[in-house]
Amino acid sequence: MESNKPMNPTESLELISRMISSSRRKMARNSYRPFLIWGYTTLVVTLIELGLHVLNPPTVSSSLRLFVWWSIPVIGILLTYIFRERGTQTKSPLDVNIGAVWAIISFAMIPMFTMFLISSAFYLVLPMVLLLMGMGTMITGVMARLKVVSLGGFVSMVGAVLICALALWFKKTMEGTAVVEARGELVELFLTGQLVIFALSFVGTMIVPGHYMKRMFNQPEEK
Amino acid sequence: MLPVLNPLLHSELRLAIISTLISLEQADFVYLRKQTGATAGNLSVQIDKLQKAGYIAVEKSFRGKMPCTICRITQEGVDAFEQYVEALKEYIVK
Repeated sequence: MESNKPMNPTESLELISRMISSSRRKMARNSYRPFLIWGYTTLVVTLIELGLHVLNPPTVSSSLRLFVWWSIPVIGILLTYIFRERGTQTKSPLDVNIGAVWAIISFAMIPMFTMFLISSAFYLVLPMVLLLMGMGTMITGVMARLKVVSLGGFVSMVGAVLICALALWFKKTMEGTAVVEARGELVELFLTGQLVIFALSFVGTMIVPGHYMKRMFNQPEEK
Repeated sequence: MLPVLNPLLHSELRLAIISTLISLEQADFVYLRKQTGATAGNLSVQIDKLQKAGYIAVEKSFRGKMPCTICRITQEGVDAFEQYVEALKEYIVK
């Protein structure tokens, strides 16, 4: 590109339009990464939890199983660091705003987990996580004007409601069941059900939108 | 009578720099060089001209041992860009 090349008004407008569109596309190119990193990490850890729950190996205690959940932030932060964008200080307003939304959501997880630890209301952890992730994904979709991503956020919210409905059904059925074996089966069904809903919701909320964003922003530029 | 196009912006490389910065919060020198395809020397001269006109703010720092130049468009630059685009529209309409 030359500094003093004469341009007519049409060429000037074309240049402006080309620069703005190319810039937007380049900036959005890696925005799918957090979705895939956190989506796949949570999915794999949830499936491990589900496997441990179904197989019930005697060597793995139930308190140890709870600690498996804590590997999500550890692995997620580690992968985010490994796959971070290196050597660039370029940021779009969209990057800054979406970054702020996810920072607030991550921060909100701290009082939320503290609250559940204090109140021992662990059955509400999974729907609340889904609700927060759904909000973040939906806001991201609206800001980036990507309907598929916004819909992904909605999937999570539906998942949260389904887990709560399952909890309600579990509570009511337990009240009417006196046989110990039947109560044990109900507990199994409830725990397995909420893990399956949680895993499927994460596929719809993080993994599908992540792959969609990757495909959308990495198409070859039109000449 | 058609308006006079701002001579500082009516240059291919300077217009490309401003058009890139208008859609970004900030951009580093390496990004601007890739985006415009200009040589480092030429880009540096044009950034300097835009900075002296008050259209962009330049922040020079180091990342480790590597120099890092970050550019941001100023409100004055945004106003000048908008006026330039308005003037261009009049040329195209007539």
